[in-house]
Amino acid sequence: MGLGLLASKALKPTASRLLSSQNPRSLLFLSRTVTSTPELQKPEQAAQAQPEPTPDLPPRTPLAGARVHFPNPDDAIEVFVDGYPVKIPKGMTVLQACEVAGVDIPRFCYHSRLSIAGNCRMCLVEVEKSPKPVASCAMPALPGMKIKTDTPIAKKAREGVMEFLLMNHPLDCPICDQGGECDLQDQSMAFGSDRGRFTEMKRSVVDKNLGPLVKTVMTRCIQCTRCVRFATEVAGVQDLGMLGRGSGEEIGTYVEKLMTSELSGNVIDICPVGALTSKPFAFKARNWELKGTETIDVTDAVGSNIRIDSRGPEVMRIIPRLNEDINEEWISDKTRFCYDGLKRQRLNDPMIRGADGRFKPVSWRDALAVVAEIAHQVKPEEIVGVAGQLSDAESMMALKDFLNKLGSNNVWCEKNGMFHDADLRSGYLMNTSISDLEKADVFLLVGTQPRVEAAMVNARIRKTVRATHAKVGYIGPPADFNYDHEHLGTGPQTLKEIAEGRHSFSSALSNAKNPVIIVGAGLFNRKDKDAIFSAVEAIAKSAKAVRPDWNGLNVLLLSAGQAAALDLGLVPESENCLESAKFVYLMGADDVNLENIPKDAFVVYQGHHGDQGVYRANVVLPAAAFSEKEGTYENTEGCTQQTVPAVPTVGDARDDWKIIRALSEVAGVRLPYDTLTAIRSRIKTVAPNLLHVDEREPATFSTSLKPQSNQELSSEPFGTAIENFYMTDSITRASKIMAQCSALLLKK
Amino acid sequence: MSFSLRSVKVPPNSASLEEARSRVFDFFREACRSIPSVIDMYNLDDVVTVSRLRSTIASEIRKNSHITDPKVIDMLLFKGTEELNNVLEHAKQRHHLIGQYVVGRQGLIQDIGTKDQGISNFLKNFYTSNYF
Amino acid sequence: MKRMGPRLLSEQPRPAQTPRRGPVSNPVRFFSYNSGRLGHRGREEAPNSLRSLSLSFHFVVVSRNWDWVSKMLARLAASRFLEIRQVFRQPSRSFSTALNYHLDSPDNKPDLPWEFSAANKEKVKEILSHYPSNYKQSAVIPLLDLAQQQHGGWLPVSAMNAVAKIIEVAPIRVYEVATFYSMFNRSKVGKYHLLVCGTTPCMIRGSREIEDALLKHLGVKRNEVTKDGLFSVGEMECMGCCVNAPMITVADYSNGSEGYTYNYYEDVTPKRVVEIVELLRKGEKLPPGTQNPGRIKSGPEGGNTTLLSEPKPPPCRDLDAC
Repeated sequence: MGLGLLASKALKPTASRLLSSQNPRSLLFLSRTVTSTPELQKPEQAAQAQPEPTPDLPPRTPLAGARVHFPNPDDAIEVFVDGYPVKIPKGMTVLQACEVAGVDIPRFCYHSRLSIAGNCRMCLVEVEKSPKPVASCAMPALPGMKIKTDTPIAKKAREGVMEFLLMNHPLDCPICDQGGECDLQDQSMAFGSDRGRFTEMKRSVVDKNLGPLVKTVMTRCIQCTRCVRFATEVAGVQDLGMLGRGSGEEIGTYVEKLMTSELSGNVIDICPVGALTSKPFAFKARNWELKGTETIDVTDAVGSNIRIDSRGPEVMRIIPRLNEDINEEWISDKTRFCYDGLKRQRLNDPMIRGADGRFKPVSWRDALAVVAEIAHQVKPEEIVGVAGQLSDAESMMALKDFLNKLGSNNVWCEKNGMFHDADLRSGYLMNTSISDLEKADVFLLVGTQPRVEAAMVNARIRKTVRATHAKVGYIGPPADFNYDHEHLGTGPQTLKEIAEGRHSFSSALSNAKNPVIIVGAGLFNRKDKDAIFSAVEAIAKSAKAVRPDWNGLNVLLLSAGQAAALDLGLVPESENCLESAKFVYLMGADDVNLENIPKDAFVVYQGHHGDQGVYRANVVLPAAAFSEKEGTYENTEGCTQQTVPAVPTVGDARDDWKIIRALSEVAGVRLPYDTLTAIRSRIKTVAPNLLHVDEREPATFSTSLKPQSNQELSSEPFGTAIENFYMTDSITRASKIMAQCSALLLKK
Repeated sequence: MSFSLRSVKVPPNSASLEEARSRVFDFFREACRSIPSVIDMYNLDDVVTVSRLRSTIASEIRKNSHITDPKVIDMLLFKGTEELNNVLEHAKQRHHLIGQYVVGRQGLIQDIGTKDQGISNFLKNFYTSNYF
Repeated sequence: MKRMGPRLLSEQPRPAQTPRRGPVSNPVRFFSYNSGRLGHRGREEAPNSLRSLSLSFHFVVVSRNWDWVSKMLARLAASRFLEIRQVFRQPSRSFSTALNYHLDSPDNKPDLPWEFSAANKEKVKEILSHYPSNYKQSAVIPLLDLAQQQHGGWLPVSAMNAVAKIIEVAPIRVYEVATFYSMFNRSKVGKYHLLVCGTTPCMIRGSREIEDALLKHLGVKRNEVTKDGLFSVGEMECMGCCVNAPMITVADYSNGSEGYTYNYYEDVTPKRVVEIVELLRKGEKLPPGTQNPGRIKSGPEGGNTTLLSEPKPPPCRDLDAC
């Protein structure tokens, strides 16, 4: 009855089917469904209501409320799980069918995003008419199958497997980091027997050195091979393998090789036991003392969903959250390990640089008074504001309003440089959303190395290339890719050739059903960027990449604040305003070329780290970092997300927009908003899509509306936008873990 | 000798609100008259002025101005007198007084000062903390 | 030769670990369960039941006289514990003579260049032609075998990398195969790698004595190479000559991959095996097969007692018998 509803709801594609059941941190295994059904209690009634499911059966919803996707509704088959009929799409395995029916089957080696291995044998269930219990993760569900998960055979199988697994497993729970979130612990409590019969000596295994991020205690490994499959399939680096055989099997790299992949931290989440754990987080905290806050990552433009685990005022670790559209279940190493930069080099007091060049801490009153005074002494056209990479939309709105009230319109976001075209959103967003990249069959990457710029986008491209053997053409300096690609050229000349159809790749583009062209935001700083963009648009037109149902022309942005900045209109009025500025307001902007600022300009730096901007600043106003404020960020595909404060601000720091609002009042040009809702309603008048949180707003008009540019393409080859993947913004530059990674893991 | 005058052997028992009120005023007068000797005893000359301490005492009393039950007022008075006795008997020390009656009373200064007259609540809260 | 289970950390080359441990707090455990297993060593020892009896006696007396008894107990337990450790210290069954991870040594480093010889390159092409062109990785085992023969009986890391490049897979996949199979030696072996079968039929016919004789004669331990680099001894699984037990086989790596032979020498005795070794040392080639002059192949000594005449035809053929 409830299942009819379920079957007819062919909802959004493959959303979180196995939501928190795949999250090893959930204790879902302990909350198993009740095994005594009313049928057993009232046999007469069950016998009466035979033809259809008895109304007494408790309604079964899929595990964790996940949605089931029927790609072909006619192909649905019906199986019986513990006597309860359930409709599933054809091709699902027995384990997935049980999950649709709401029954959680224990497993170690199965992971919904990896290939099926079937070597842990924990998922054994009894199937009628089968002589032995079957591995439900590998057995496809056939129509009319009667699956029984709570019979003595299934239970005995689970207890037996658990006993075997625990035989060689060391008694490390007190010293193991995974304690409290360990699959083995949870499942042995729920499904194992209470005693073992092993009295021999346990084997032990040598620990392998995988780098400064992943701590290995290989004795605890239960040889589920999830890490091996992750490394080959998702991360694309074939480093790990299962060496040896029998109980002496070891997971390792054979030769001493560090895991240099940018997704290497995800094996920490994947490993069900404490064999692979986080080295920076080793022995720091237990998971039950941590408070998890669901927020957004800002180290790159992808906006991966994360959960910040904090204990008191300190961020202890960062864990990924499931978001099918953006980052699935993975996050890059930079996202995962940048948190210790939040504890170093923090600005916590307003400071004014005295006459001797040294900073003196002052009160907010005095600092704001000084800034306001200077702001009134300079001419409006000499006032310049630069928003930083990590600025949220509220503070950028406040900055623009404030500077406009002072008479200046020279505000921009630092990574955008002199990019003026904020009119058409399709000109600076990833129009093919990240999840739609899976539908593409040809990729053309122009001047962008997605592996270092947006690791999650790269993972998605790799997923597509692996699934459909999509072609990838790359124009730019020689770079490392973890999938097969053709290196077409290094500069704009190749682009011209492809646009004119002279290159061999043009035929691949024109024959493609869903071509995708990705332009990197590192090109924003080139002189000939207009020519490059028109060349790219010409290619898109000839390849029919921009259609009503598919827009394959994308720009991959570099930092979290760029998209929101362009949506809010932070575009500078004059080109070289920085060179002639007398009052420069840097809101977290460290990557601006500080040499360009004249020596007599008065620089105010408002940020959270004492990075490069502070060296040139005259006044320092401490602000809150992303983990301490509630801010709106828009990612490169146009999806608006909000961060949530996880820890309190450091010292005397304030939220960015509050500082600007206070400054405006002290300067006499009071901004009209006092609260977060007020500033958000102000944003609504400018860019209403920034209020629709967790929704992706696609661009309305395509770039064909742009007038043609007559610029000439220069012959300078494309450069790399990001030299060092691990150190790109003020937080990562202050982080010790990132410093270790860049010393050890970067390919020299 | 001062304690014999001030120590209340029997807690006050006011019949009506007006009586309680007048007792409060008497107590306030008493306290204010003893301020100079307090400053002298604890060497608070450089730390605080008489008028400041007076306003502090006034604000403490004003904090409870909303109470209407005479018995409660009596109880508060008793407590106040007890506190005053402690101070005068030198049962407290300098740092107690500074901590309890001098520091953290900027509100008073702000009320007196002129530069903060026209600022908004936002700015006032901004200067105190990030969370408001 | 007993079947030892998983390898212990103590077996692997680590900095010397102290074998001494303090008095065990629960000595009873070591006695009751292990008694059956440890009896297979063939050593003369007091029946374990007696020991456990005496211990339980001690245990009872404990309450009275803790100090004196505890010392006795501790000594007993420690000695027993050492016995157990000795049992485990026997080299476990690591036929591949190496560990599951690579340690750099001067002649085994990933940056040492390694290539198939010109003649072997032809063989490689021939091997690859046995498999479909999009499944080149199926050729990993024959190619590794060829590489092992070429390199004198063992596979350096660079050889495995070279094979990986030929079959176009990541090197780790080749490492996985090479560590799985024990016949791929990943550390040096002698030019003549002597393998003694240790499975039950050979064992009851005295393969342990054969191995002891070899080891004593050559003065090496199992999986070690002699000083002149000519011989090494290892244990092997059943090679199918159970009728001619005990047997050894000689993997002859002295002539590279062209002259590679893998010959069985069956019906050996400790004396004969030493003779074989000496003949090999001089460089002579012995005929493989049974070393018992009285036997013909697998036949019994003194000639066959069955199959003395032509076999009877099947009944349907014997037209006269219908």
